Formats: sequence, C-alpha cells, structure tokens
Amino acid sequence: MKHYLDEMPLYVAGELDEKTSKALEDHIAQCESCREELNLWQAMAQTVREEDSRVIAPANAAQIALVKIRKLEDKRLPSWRMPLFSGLRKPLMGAINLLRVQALMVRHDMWPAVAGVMILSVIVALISKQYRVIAFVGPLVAAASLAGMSGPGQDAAYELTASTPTSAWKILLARLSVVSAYNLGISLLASAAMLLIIPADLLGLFILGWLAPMAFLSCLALLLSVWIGTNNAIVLAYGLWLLQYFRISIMFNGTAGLPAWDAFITAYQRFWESPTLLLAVAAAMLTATLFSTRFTDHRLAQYQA
Amino acid sequence: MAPELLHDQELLRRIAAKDEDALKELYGIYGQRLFAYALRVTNDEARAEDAVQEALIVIWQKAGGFRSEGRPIAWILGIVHNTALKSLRHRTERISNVMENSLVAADLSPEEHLQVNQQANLLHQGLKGLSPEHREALELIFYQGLSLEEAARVCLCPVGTIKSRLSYARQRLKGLMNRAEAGK
Repeated sequence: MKHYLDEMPLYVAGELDEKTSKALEDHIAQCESCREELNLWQAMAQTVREEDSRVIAPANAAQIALVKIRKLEDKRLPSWRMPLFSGLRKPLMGAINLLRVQALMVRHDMWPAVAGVMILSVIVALISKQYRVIAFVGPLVAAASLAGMSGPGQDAAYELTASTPTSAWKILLARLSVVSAYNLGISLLASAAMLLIIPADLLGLFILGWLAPMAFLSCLALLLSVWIGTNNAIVLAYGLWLLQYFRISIMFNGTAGLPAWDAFITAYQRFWESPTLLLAVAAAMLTATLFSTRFTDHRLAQYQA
Repeated sequence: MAPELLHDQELLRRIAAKDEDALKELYGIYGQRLFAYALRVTNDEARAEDAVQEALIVIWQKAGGFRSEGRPIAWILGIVHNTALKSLRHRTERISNVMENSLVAADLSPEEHLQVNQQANLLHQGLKGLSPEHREALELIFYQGLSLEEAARVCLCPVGTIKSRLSYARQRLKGLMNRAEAGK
C-alpha cells in the first residue's frame, strides 16, 4: 500500500494535483498512521502561517533602503557628480588613454632630438644676441618632428597601428596633439630664455611671430609626409620655409639682382608674417591630412610587399 | 497572464528605470512577506530588517536583469534568501551550534517540558530550533505559497533537497513532540 508520505507537505500547501490529492484522501481514510502524519504536517503549516501572519514589517525599510541607495550612487560619482560630466567622462578617459598610448608609439629618439636642437638654438641665440634664431629654428624642428611621426619607415609598430580597430585619423590626430604640445612647450621655454636678451613686454609679440609659421609648417610637413613620405616632406617644407630668405640683392651683395624675384620674395615674406592666413591654411591642411588617412592605407600593403 | 503577475513585472520594470515610488509600492505589497521570510531565516529581527533593506538595494540595482522566466516574487525571495544568509554569515558563533543548543534546551529542560505541553507551543519552539535551511523550506512552501521548483530556485538547490529538508524538519519536530509526550 502506498503511503503518500512525500506528497503530504504539497497536499497541505495546496500544491498537489487533483488526482493525487484524491488518492491521498482515500488513503488517509483507511490508514491511521498516515492520518496522524497528515495532522502533523497540517499543524506545522498552521504554526508557520500563524507565526508569520503576526509578523509586522518595519514601515520605513523602503525609505531607509532608498537613502542607502542614494549614498551608494553618490559614492560612485566621486568627482563627476554633474550628469553632464558623468556623460563626458567615458569619451574623455578614452581620449586621454589614446594620447598616452600614442605618445609611447612615437619614435623615442624624437623627444631628445627636438629638445637638443632647441637647447643649441637657445645657446646660439644668447651668444649672438639674435633672438630670431628661435623663431627660425622652432618651425623647422616642429615640421621635422611631425613629418617623422608616423608611416612605415618611422613607426616601429606600423603594422600593428594599421591593423588596430582605432581609426587611422584618430591615431594621427592623437600623435599630432602629443608631438605638437611637446614642440610648443619646448619652443615656449626657449622663448622664455630669450628674456635674457629682450625686454619682457616684447615676449608676447615674439611668441606670436613664430607660432603661426610653426603651425603652418607642421601641418604642411604632416600632410606631405602622409602622401610622399617623411624625407620628401621635410625637404619640401624646409625649402618653402627657407625660400623667404632667398633675396638675390642681399645674397649677392652689391648687385641689382632680379627686381621681379625680390618683389615676389617680399610678397612671400608677407605671407609668412600673416598669422590669420597661416592658421587658416594650417587648419585646412590638417583637415585634409586627417581625411587623407582614408586613402593612404594602401601603403601598408606596399610596405609589406 | 494573471493581472497580479503583470503588475509585479511592471513594478520591476519601473524599478529598473529608477522609479523610487515603484520600490516603495513593491515594499508596500510584499514587505510583510519579505520580512517574515528574512525573520524565519535569521531568527533575529534586527538582522531580518537589515536583510530586507539590503535586498531592496539589490532589487534596485538588478531589476533590469529580471527575465520573465518565473514569478517576480520568487526572484525577489531569492534575493532575500541571499541577503539573509549573508547577514547570518557575519555572526561570530556558528549557526548550527546555536540551533542545536536551543533545540537541546527545549528538549531536556523540565521547565521547558511544562511550557511546551501543548502541540502549538512545541511546534513553535521546534521551528525555532531548526536550522535556517529547514525553516526556510517550510516557510517558502507553507507561507510564501511557492512550488517546490520555485523554492528550489530561491534556495539555489535541487528540488530533491527541498523535499529532504521538509522531511527532515518533520522528523525533528515529530521527535521533539514524542520526547515531550514521553516526559509528561
């Protein structure tokens, strides 16, 4: 005879199906020990229900929990409490990370080379008392460092860089930002050193004098390096920069020279002294450079071949 | 789908959307059951209150992860199960010893014999003497109205374990009552 011992708690809880419940009830009517067993289960269930129904829940548990929740959520926003900043945090951290990584990818010998050339320029400028040396050398150094910043011949991890999921233009912009910030910082320090030979109120004008040419020449060198390679870019950028000093009447002292050429050089020099124009063209070249990265990926295949 | 079930799912959806009123409403509906369950597991009002508050915080954080695979109340009781057991783990004394001692005291003391001479009192004392796992099995089936499968999901154990816990609880309580009868 089946005693339905396992089914009894489910029967008491009302969880037993109708057919088994009927079979259990029929069995109980005949089996005294099972009737006692069922009585015990019913008493247990009754006791549990009575005890629980007397329990009174604390009225303010939800409010206390919400206070704790707010505290927890405040802790998660240590310095970015404003929703606007919390939304910007992720892309900002991503950009900082990209800059940090790309700073490591730039040729390591570039950093001391730039600093070394600028230190020499400062020494020469101070000895000769010619502060213009800094304004002459600064753009050249900046152009060279940017032209040698990326590309198969310059980037030890070029294949890795080319196959990374980060867009080529983002990588180029990150490197451009890091190297340009470095060049700018070094040139500003060199300019500050010129305070030894120029009055303090001239410093601002002096800095503005090399800032726009530096931006122009840097962007030009970068654009050219993407299309025709680092070495060609440096030669062409340097040539364009030095051209302004090729005034025949001065080079060949005492000769009449070529008036048309000298007139051209005068106009050309005026171009290098127009900061607004230089910066506008620099911005256009930078945009063109970043856009160019879409069409210059084939260089990886050439390099591998 | 039952309206009650739909309403509970809607409450969880609102909580996932960080609606504070929804959390208060949920507690208004189920607070008594949650506290009774936590009290049954912990045997201690302060710990039960902490466990319920902690469970509400977890519900707030994880409501978005609720998948409509079962009744929301079973999912919620599963969270209370975890927070209540967590509060017990912080005790300095081992639970089994506490429970065992209280059961022995109920079993052997002559004063206790006098007090528990009625079945209801015996069961009341006996329930307190059970371990948290056995008390919660009785609680989930008889008070919370969960099926064996739901109770198993709440306790993160097989259905067979719930059955054996119920059976063990019955044996302990019956043994206690038999000894009380014999001592009269």
